[in-house]
Amino acid sequence: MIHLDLITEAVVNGNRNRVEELVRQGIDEKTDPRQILRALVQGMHDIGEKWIRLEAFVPDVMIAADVIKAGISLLTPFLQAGEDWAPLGKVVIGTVKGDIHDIGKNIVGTMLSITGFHVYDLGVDKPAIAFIEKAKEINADIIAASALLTTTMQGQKDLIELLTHTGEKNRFMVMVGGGPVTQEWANSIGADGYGETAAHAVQTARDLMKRKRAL
Amino acid sequence: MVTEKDYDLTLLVPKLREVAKKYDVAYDPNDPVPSDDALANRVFEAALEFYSEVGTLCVDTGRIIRFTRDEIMEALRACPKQVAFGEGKDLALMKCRKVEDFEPPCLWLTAYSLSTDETLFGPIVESFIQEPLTQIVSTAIVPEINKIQIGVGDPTEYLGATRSALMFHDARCRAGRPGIACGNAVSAAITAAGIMAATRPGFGLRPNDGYYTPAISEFKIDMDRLTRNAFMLDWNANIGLLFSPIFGGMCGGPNTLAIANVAYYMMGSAVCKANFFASFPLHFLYSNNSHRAVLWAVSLSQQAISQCTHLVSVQELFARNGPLTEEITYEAAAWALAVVSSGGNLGGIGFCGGGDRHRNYCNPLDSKLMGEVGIGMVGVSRKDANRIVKGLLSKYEKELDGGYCKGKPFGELYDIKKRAPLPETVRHYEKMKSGLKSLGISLKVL
Repeated sequence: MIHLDLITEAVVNGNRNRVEELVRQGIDEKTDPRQILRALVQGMHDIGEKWIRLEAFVPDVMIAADVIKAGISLLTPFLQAGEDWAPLGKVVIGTVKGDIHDIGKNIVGTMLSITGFHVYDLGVDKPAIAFIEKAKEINADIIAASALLTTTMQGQKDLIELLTHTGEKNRFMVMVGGGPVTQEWANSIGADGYGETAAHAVQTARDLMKRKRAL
Repeated sequence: MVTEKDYDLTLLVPKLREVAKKYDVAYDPNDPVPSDDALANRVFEAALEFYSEVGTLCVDTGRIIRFTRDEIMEALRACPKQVAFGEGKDLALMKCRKVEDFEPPCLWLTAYSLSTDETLFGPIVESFIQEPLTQIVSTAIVPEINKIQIGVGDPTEYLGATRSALMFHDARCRAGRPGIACGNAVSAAITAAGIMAATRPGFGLRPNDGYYTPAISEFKIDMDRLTRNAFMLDWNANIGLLFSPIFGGMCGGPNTLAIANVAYYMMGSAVCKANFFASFPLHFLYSNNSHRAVLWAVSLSQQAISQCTHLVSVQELFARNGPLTEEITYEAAAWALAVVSSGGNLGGIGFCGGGDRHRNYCNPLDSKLMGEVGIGMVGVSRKDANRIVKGLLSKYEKELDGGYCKGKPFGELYDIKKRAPLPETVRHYEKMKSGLKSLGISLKVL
């Protein structure tokens, strides 16, 4: 009989092959898929805790997130509708046009993943239209735009202006962040939320989802 | 050809961790300024193996630019031992320094990544330039010119880059030091087109100013950067590789950060033919590099470079706390001691990641005091530096988790019209000088 702790351990170790092997074994042995899912998610929490203690770093968390997705893709056919590890919402995240910095975006994206959001990472140097097209494609809840240079912050304003111009501002919540970005800037461009730090960004995303559900 | 994600997660990170283990590079929090020559040598060897296998990823083509060990060593040997910044009576030589060197560090006393209002650019930059200790200064970023928001890759970047160049040159002339170099001309130019525009004759910039080729974290470059590099080589300009490996990011913890920091020098020599190297690793949570673990990595990597090469290296401080706080003085003093005893030249002070979040926040006297520590303590042994740095750390590191003190903006510290510090600013400077002396720090200026 499969030991679910081994799944959690394999996630923490970033061992994709092992996770897939154990998940398949669990499925074959008719283990409750919800228990397997919990073991996977526990792995994410454990790596998150190690990250906070600086015993693990961004690449470890990113690898763990990928490993969990691989495990879940095997598990999905056996889960009931609505049993999903990421019930909080869908986020499209990227760095705006002209800006190639990604560490902040990666940290926020990873933390959003850990806390239960589906995250679609566009990468860096993306024009406003790229954010919107992806958000429409996956029916996102939140668009998160990062800028690390004073001179690229304008890209965040462009995104909101384009959403307003196309009449889609109310369809997506927009949050912004990055080194030079402030609450004042976020307010001035009409962003729905702002994250000063990665942890703050996660809380902001949660608050935006509550606001969205209340509408 | 590889994707960025594959390069990072299947090549860069595993290799960095592998060489850290192979060469036994381990962090010791008890010695933020280590004194282990053998360890420094091993860091260099680890970086050489790492960079020869991982190379630099060109993000536009997905191809990895790799060099053999021999080619890397050749590139390092081809770098100059000193770099001339500026001209005339304000000519400054930034030199290769050795560990515990009695050669004074070159002092690039400035505010890094500073964003200013258009009307404050002149008063701020002039106030930094007028400090006699300062040998090189940085220009500031002006996010709006004539109420036009400056962007990237469009005519507003042209406006920002060219007008910033004019404004800087005007400032150095007004401050009476027309020959002093700007080390980071042109901060408003993000693209090659912006650099080329701003360096046209008539806008005031010269090849003996400094021009960055910023690496893309980690170990990446793009065609635009290579193009600006080609232009600067042709123009015979001073080219600095600017790099900021992130503690807690792909470069991991302090031991792998130290190795990565050294490998960046190899990238700068081989890919960019840089003649100087400007390093500012950052803590991913606090956006500073005065954190104990980062300080250790900076000190150790600088020692590796100083022992094993003749490269011209400047280490740039990003403090957690803001202008006119006590904490920024302690952070700056710790930085100066760690860098100078390890063989680096002294750059500083940025504030908590910089940029428009703290527009106009700077204090030239904070930078001046850091320079006085750097000169006063020249020749200090690493052991003595370590002892004093530990005392300084005790004054600010516990507060890092709890946020930071923002300090005050320039307009509250200086008489803007006179370009002179206000009495409170001078009193604070004198108070902090006394405080540093009581910690055993000599501020005697040569």
